[in-house]
Amino acid sequence: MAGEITMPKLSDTMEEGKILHWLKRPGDVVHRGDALAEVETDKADMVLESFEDGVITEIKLQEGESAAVGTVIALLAPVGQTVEKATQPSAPAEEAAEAPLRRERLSLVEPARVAREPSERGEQEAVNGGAMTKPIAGGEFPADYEPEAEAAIESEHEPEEERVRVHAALGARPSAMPSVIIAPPPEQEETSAPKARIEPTEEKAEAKPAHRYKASPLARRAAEEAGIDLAHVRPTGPDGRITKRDVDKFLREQQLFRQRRLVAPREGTFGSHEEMSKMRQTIAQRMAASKREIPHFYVTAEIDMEEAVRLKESLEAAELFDEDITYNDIVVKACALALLRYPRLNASYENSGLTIHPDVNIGIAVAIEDGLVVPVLRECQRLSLPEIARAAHRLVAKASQGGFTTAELSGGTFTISNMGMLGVEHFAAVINPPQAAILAVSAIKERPLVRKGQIVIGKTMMVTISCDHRIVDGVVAGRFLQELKRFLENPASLLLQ
Amino acid sequence: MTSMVLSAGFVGLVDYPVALALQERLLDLRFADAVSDTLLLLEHPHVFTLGRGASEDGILEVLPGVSVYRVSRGGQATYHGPGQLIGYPIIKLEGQARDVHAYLRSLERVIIGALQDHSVQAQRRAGLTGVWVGERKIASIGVGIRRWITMHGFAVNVSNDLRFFSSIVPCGISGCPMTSVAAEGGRAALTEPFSLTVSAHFARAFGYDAVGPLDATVRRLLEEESSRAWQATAAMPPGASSTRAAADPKGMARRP
Repeated sequence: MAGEITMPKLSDTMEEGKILHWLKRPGDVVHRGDALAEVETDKADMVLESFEDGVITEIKLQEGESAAVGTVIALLAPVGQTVEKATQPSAPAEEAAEAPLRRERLSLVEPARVAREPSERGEQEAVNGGAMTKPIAGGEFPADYEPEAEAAIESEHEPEEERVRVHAALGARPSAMPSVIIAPPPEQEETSAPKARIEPTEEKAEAKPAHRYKASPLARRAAEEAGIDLAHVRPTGPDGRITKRDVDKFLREQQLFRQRRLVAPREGTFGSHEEMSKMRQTIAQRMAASKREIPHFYVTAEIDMEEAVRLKESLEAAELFDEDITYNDIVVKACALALLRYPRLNASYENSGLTIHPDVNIGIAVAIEDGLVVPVLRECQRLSLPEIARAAHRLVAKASQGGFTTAELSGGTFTISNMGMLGVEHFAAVINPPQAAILAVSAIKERPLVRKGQIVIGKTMMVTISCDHRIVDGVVAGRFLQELKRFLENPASLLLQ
Repeated sequence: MTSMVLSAGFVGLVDYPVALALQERLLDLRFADAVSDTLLLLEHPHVFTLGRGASEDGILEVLPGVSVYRVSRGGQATYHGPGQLIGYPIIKLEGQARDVHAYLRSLERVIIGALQDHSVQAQRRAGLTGVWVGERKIASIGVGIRRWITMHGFAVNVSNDLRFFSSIVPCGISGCPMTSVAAEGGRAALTEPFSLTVSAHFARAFGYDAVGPLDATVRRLLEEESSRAWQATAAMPPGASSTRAAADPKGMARRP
């Protein structure tokens, strides 16, 4: 049974083939019919399948390398010799082997889709009546099989380098970030989040069907929409019920996990020179033009966020809306209302004249690995807070999927840059031309403040507006911030309009 | 290959990830003989795709409104967009037909034949997969084969805006000039009529007795995958701009 795996002849005219990608690594158990590698010849790629059972002992041709037809590309040893009998069912192996394959197909799939894969697979197998799954001989696995298989999946799940950097969005959920600063989730939870998502094997095998978990109807629907298994969600409701809030928390943790890993800026090497990406060049040119041509001035205000925090929490607890309202959504709504009273901040200096835009289209700066994108929420003046939340989350989710349409990135009349997630005290942003102003939003922090003559600990947030002095003067900026402050400190007003 | 009807049809504009998911499901169904050989014909919204291992430098410029995906296929950067006819054959290769290169050459013949019907004289070029009019590339081919069932396929430039190609290094050939049926003065340079010609030539080249309409299963799966993708991106409030609205080449004019 020991054998050599050779470069297959996929065509009469094929002389050599290239390994695009190994789907197995040394130590992996393979069965007849399992996918081993993707092989490319000409403009066709083909999955090479194993003709026998065994354990891969060595890979001789690395990814990206070519070899003539018939060349040995890997070695296979018989199963029995190196492994002990184990009693695990064979399902995990099957899953582990196929999961990375499917997930790999498209590297910019949105998280919801990735999370849904297990159930999707289940469906497919049902459709096929199991015809696609080959019978697997025996239950033989190396003793260390499980952990290795999991490690393989983990590493498949690190597509940062593979991601198309320019478009894959990393600030995937800016709005969810301030909550991190107030209550950072324990480290352990964070690392457990991705596991929950990619642990398709054991847990799934014995998972209870969804209806066996106690969950509110809203939670059930949210889980279904996001394609997650309720088994992964930690219940906090009465009688161990899973609430919508638990589902949202779970999703947020996953997002956060993505973000933590992805938002890391591209690493540099000391003493090297890099060509700038197109996106970097664009940012360089636009930001330089902005600072060169626009006379910026900056005004800062401290905003008491106590009530806004309370509002957010009570909305979450009441599960009134399908979409959780985030701090970013609250700031967007408050800005839209404040801008309605100060139209000159919703304007552009163009052709030596002033254009005051008919709609309030707020751009949200979203960090991506090598730069940033600013998707635009249109006609914010017409949108209620939940509508803003829905639209904003959709845009942000889209960022992680890696692609915006022209309409989604253009036509902004005002920009919000939120660095709350980075815990910053205070910062000022560069105006996004030809807009009149940009609002820099910092972290919500506990600070001492004076309320009715008493020093108390409150939750406050610094905001700084950068304005084009050709269009407005300090007094407009100051009044705008006063207005913004009024809305944010009396957030019930945000729900009324 | 006995009673041979090719299930083929043009399904309009389909997002790249939706079409990919659809192909994968069809591939499994085809393997289980739950559907017949299928030729999916469609268009994609603006999208750049990169093969596995392809350098990101293949994309010279990121355009607003153009999504970018890295796909597990070989090959370099590719552009797809409205006006380009995409063909995804999901067919089982059997016996003599199990020859990857022969399959690629057959696809080239299908496209050359269809172009001829639309008054465009095109050729193969030795060593370069694809279809060419002189030095200009009119169709690209890139296929995947799983368990001897085909996926991915070909893209023929019919009436698409060729300027988008200038933002990538198409198929790794720098400065490769592109052309289209419309640019070559071909007849009926529209994707849907062109798709009919392609189906006919495809059926002839691969020895089918007839071309039938798309299997109902295929339509159902397409609906399913589309609504799944739609749900994933959540509903937009009324009046908000739709994704499709951006398929307007003005994006080009707004290039920074």
